[in-house]
Amino acid sequence: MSAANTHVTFAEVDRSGDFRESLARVGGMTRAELLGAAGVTSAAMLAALAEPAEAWTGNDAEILQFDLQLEYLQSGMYQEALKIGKLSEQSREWARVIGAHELAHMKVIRSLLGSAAAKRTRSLRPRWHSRISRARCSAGRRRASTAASCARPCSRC
Amino acid sequence: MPSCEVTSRREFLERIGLAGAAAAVGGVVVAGVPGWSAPTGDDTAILNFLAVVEAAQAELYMQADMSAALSDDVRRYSAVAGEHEQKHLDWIRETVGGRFQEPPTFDFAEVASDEARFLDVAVELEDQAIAAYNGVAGNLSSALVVRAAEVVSVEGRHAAWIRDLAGVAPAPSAADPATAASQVTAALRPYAAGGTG
Repeated sequence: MSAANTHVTFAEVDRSGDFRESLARVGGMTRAELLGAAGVTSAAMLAALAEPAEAWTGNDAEILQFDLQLEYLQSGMYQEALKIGKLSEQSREWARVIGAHELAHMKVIRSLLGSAAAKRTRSLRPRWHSRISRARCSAGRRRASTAASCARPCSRC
Repeated sequence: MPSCEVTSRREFLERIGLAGAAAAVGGVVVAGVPGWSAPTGDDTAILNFLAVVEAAQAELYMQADMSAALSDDVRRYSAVAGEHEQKHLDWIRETVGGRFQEPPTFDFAEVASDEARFLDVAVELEDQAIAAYNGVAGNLSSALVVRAAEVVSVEGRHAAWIRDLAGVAPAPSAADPATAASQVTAALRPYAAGGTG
């Protein structure tokens, strides 16, 4: 798998904008600043993340909402990878353990936020699926054995 | 016997220059953690305590470097981790400045002469370091919390690495426990140079 195959942008996995919106809140930016200009969102997000902590304006709840989105992102990736079921035995074990930890973190943050906790949007997961599938298909094409199945569009995306 | 235990712990803390930190460890009970006491909001006492933890680790890895009994994988780990611990110690020394208390001397020569024993102790010290940082985090001033977070995550990486080399779960739980400073120093005590007090 080349780096190009596995490189994931935030825009791809955050189709709903929930993640970027939570980041905008704690980073002192407007949602429009992060979501407005197509193609620059990743750069804008990196800029926001590079801000020193003092510049963050979010209160505890907003910071926790951002953390929650991070946990959604992480747990979603491991769940999806396990569901696709193409990991090696060792990677599957890692994904199982780490994924369980991310889920536990997610539950703790949700319990702290109570009814204010942002819902997990479905839009995160299919994109992971297509990304992981594509990376797998690229590897498959190089082996020239599964090219036909890779050409089939992902039924879940 | 509890009274002996208290006396010897006190002697140990005095010997390693932790009497001040031990006094500070006194009465603050953290909400939600029964029986758990944390140092008071004195950054200097807390950092001097963390310096003891870092010094123990740095000495362990320094002696690993001089040992002929360890495998290449373990020596490679020790070289990397040892450099980190030394940098952590330097950071604490610079931050505390004139009120820095020299940590005690530790002796891991025997530990480093046997790979199985070394792995056990390295796992123990890394876990203790994480627990120590977690334990004091709530009482550090906010600027130092950020710096300490940057350090404790590296201790977590060390713990996962050495745990993997030791053949135990690299990430055993979703959250690592916080430990009182007195428990951490008690765990380090057997490794203090010049006997176990």
